[in-house]
Amino acid sequence: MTILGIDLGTTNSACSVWKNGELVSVPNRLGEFLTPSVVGVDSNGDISVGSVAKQKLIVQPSNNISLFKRLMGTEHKIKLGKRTFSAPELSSFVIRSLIEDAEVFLNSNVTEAVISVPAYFNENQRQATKIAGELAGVKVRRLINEPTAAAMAYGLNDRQEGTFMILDMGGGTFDVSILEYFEGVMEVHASAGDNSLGGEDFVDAMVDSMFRELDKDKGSVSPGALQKVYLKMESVKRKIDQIEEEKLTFELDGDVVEFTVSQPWFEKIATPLLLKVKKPIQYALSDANLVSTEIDDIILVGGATRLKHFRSMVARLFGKFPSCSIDPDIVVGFGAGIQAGLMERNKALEDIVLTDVCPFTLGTEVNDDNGTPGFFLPIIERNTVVPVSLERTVVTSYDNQGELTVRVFQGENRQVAQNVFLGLVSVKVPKDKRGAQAARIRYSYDSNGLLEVDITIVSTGKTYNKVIENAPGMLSSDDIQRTKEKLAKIKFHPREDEEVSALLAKGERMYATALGDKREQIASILSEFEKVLDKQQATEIKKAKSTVKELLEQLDGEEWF
Amino acid sequence: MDCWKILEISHTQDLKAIKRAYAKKLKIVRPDENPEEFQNLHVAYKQAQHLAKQALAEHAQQAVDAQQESEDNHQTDDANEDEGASSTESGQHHLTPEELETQEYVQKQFNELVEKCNSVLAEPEKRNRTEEWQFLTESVLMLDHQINSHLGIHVFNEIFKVNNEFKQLSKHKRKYSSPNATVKKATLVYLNHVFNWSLETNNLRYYVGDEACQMLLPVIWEGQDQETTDDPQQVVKGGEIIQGKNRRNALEEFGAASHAIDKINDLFFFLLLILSFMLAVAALLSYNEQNYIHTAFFVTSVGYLILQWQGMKKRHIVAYYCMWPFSVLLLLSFPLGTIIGGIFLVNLNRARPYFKS
Repeated sequence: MTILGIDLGTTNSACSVWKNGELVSVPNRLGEFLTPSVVGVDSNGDISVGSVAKQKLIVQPSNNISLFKRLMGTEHKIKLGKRTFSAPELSSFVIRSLIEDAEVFLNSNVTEAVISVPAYFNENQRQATKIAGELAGVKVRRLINEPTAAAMAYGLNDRQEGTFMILDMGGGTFDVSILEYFEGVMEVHASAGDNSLGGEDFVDAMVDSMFRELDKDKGSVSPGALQKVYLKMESVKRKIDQIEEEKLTFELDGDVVEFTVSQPWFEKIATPLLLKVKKPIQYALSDANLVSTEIDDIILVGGATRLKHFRSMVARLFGKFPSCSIDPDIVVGFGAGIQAGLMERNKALEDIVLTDVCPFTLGTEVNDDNGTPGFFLPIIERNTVVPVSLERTVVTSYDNQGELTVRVFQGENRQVAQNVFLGLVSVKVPKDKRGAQAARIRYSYDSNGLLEVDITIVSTGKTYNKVIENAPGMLSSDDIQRTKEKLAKIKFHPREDEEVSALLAKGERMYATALGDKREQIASILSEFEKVLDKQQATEIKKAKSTVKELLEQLDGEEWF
Repeated sequence: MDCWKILEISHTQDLKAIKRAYAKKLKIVRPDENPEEFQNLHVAYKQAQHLAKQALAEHAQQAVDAQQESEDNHQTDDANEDEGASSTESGQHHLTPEELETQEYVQKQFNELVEKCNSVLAEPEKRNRTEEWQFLTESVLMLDHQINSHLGIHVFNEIFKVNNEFKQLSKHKRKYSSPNATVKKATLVYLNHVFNWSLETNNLRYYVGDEACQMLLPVIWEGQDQETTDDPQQVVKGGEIIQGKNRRNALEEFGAASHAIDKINDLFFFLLLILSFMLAVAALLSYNEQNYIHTAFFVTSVGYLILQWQGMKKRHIVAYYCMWPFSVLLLLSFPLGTIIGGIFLVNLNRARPYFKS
């Protein structure tokens, strides 16, 4: 029995697994360790995941989608071509593709998985991730926080004792965790983060700033042209450290416009975003009761931490340079694999114990002294070590109250309306004067993120119990089964063709974004390639594949993988 | 609870030993397998650490005190000698010319930022326009923690002065002053993103004072609460978003509905009171006339009331539909019934999703 460790990222996903007593990254069908979290529907209605969809996103934005992780836990649906999906369904496609890769790699079935989630994901988003795993046909044994996973990968790599701060800035989320490693114990002290701050926000800000400076309306540009702008900006962001000044040429629905990017321009754009980084760091430090000098090392995780500006800001904040000896893109996938090994009770990990925290406050709604409803009563405070079980007592709020409704919320706001609603339990109480009847509310939160609510009426001793599993609007187990059947009917793009499709998609994307001579060159390469494909001779196709790959790579000016 | 007993070590101040003992126990008491015992162990661990740290701090304090005492004695003995030595030692660390230059440069930049902030604040037309404040987020200097917090305190204080001035004005003057006489909530929230005031409350209390904090921080908190989330189409690339119901809206809807149900309940008891009074009057009047209409009215009213009561209790969809005609009937009995019936109908409509089918 194998448990797969999956890093389900906003922009890229990866997975790793224990094989012959060793942790290894699983290569995908193209031989790469990173699979772009992009899903597309082709003209036959078949699903494609990864590079192919990522390339096609530029040419056909309405049939392909990326960054859908940002919609996890919401009730928005996404229309791709003629089909409609929810965010967990799209994520399940990515997971399914990763599992297939792992099954081929291991030559055995994968039935269970550990999936990583941003530490600051709320309970609804976690549930959505779990459902995504189930829709892909695996049992999700554990959701592990991304910074914790990264820390485990580091801890196991260096076996160095001390207190570490992990800064994880991925495509769409920013997480901070403080972790101590000693005597084989990995103790998470605190986690904090920002659910809407990531590498993509820098690109968004760059694009917005460009449109503002050119005095053009972003909304009036066609989606295709807009995707090309995003693509160009993404590659500018990746090499911003090396450019002093560069002139970009864009084709915006007919008009050709020029725009100059430069270091000072980028700094101006990045500063407001970097200011947002400070807040979670301060929160985490104060929750862990530490000062910045007590941190032995700062570990950077996630692609966006490659940004020079981010690094120098962190260095300034702590007075020391952060370290990142493991590839920041695959470190989370590695950590998820380690957790999977822990669940399997792998021999190499026998002496390791991990303790994690609940990064949010969990509580219920109460009335204030004047009887106004809508106030938040914390029961499990944020950054409490889990598994935990705590209790608070409440009393009835008006005379002859016959029913007590416990509404479960997660968040840090004094007003419940600003927090995330997770579910409710209604219990009967004996009618009495206001405040005369009391109930004990016990919340139990385990390492799997399962919240159980027990309510005991003090006067009668009656106990009610409910597991808060499905927040409103979430799928029930029947629904999951039905959706699973529905998804099973959808065909995946054939695996064998994937490499060829990826090359063709790349060529088409390059053709669409290039101009002039380059464009003709690409067209001729592609038509030659198609001719070879038509002959259907395996050896020739194989040879052509490698030449086309090389040719395209030489011509491609964009750096976005 | 004795934390040392749980950790299975004797009372110690050695933090390392505590950690070692905890680690040893933790490998037997795995968090997943034995949550309750683990929670006890963790509490014991934290308590032991706390006790040890406290003891260490006390020790250190005692040591410092003892040293100071001996130093004091020492100093009185040869005070003359010390004087000469300390004057050379207390000289400040000399900065290299380059360091001085950068320091001067930073100081100049900082002063420029202060000037700019002051000038924006001084002009009522400018102070509430976020574009005018944008220079702050575009300055790399703001990433420096010290500069940021210094400037933050300065700006906070200045805003307090502006808003306080307005507060001191007479009622009449306040009414006729310009709309930008104060720094508004939206501006405060925007600036809070830059300076993180809501995280630095202790600093602010210390440097600016309680009065300013009490005046401005609640406004910021309130404003933060009201901030809305992004448009879902903006956060993804590609595809087409079909917007789902916002959970927060659903929650508010639920709140409104349960409120509506409560209101119907309240009204029901109120109505019961009025009806029994009316019935009493009617029974009194009809005693002599032998008029059966009153009796019929009495029977139907009671019947409907029972229906209403059961409907509220069971929240069943059948009851819900039965409650409609009752409310409409009420609407016909002018004037009191019309008002009550109207409220009934509105609330019934709102409570509809919370009746089970």
